[in-house]
Amino acid sequence: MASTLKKIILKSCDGKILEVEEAVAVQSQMIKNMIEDDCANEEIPLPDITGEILSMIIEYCKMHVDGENNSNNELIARDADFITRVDLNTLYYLIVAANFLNVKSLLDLTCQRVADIIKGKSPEEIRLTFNIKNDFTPEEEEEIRKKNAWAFDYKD
Amino acid sequence: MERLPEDVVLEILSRLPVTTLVLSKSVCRSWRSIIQSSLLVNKHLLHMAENDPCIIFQIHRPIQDHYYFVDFACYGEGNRSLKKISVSTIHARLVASVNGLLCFCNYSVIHICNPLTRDYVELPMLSRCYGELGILGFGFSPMTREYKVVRILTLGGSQWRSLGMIPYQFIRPQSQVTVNGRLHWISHPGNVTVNNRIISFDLTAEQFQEIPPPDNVTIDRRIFELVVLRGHLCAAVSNISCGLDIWVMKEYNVKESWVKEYMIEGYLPVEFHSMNGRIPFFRSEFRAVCSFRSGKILLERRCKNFVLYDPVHGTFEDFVFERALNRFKMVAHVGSLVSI
Repeated sequence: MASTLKKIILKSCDGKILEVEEAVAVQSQMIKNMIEDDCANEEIPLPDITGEILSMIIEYCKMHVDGENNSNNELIARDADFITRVDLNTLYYLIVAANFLNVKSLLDLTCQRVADIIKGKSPEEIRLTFNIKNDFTPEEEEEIRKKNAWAFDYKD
Repeated sequence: MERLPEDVVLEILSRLPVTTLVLSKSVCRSWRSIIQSSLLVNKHLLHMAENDPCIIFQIHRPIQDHYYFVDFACYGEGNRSLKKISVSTIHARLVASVNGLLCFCNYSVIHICNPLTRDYVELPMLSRCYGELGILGFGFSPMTREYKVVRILTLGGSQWRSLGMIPYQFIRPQSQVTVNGRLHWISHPGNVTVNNRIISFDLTAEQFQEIPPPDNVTIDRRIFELVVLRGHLCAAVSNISCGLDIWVMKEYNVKESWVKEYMIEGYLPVEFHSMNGRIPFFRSEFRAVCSFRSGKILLERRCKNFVLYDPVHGTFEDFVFERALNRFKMVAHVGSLVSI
């Protein structure tokens, strides 16, 4: 029976070919649309997604398809386990891929994870963590601090 | 991060608790412009409803009109720090907190502000009833996306729209609670032989309606207080052990769905333990303030002490802020950047 299930073939930017069951692949709204438009019969090239990231996304989608009958709490625990294993650099590529493939639940999970990393940090710490350049003049920065003095009242 | 599409950055930033969100304005220009967009403000509000709450304190002693903000969503339920915020009120009564906006009433002047952005608006005066406070309600209609102030007076006013007469009596001042786009108050008939009633006001249809109270003799004629815990309408009533019984209406406006979910025993904060081993009061002195995602409930005692109650283990933990607070009014708050 399993062999009759339709497979979708995905090709990563570094040439890795992955065969995915349709039920797993349609977790991606983009692929689902392609299947509905009858454009998914040949391999689908994914120019910005590496094989490593693609495997992770498929692992995540599989987990959600297999866990459909599990309780909500179980899924939340599995999601948490999945996302805390991911380092910041990988998290970035996961977000880009989840956004491109339009996997809503994974995009929610990854965005929430980044928000949890930012939460409670000072602006300096945020810039350092994400390697963001401060493009304000000192005067502009001072103005923001003044207007929102309550929030800047933290212990450095 | 700088290379992420703007809509993804917006998705991330909208999940930040308000303190970090405000701090993030000074990270870089592109973040600041995203944080200032109305799209972010609305999205943020939706995310914060699922988060731990915040609290606003209005302090009257030793100095009048001092305000503090506590962000549990940002620093967790272990947060004990009070952030001083400036709200320009003079002897104003804090009516309610809705979507991050506070409604104040000072005699006949009502104003609404966001205490974190200092956005401020004063409502037109209600003439002919100077000094008449009445029962005030402040809420948001999700259907029409309008904020509304409801004022129940003994006489109708002029500039305001009169909705007519209602056959309910209220004890005042009392706190409103908002659930399902409706305001709720307790109507007290002023007569011990008649039961209290829960009156709701639909902010969209602008109609009053009675909500069935829990079907239980202990609540019928006793003073109980309304509170919202995790989005449910709850009624808190003193119990025999000088604690609180909290009834939760699991399904809104369904009488059969009332459940006595919490039976909180009486508890004296540690500072009183040396005085007397037993609780010398007949009624509970606790008021439920808000609940956390962990399920714990914050209780407040006589405008002075706080206790964190753990319903799973039935245990209490004294909750001491970094500064002693005395004589205050407090509201559970959603930290938002909503403007008026």
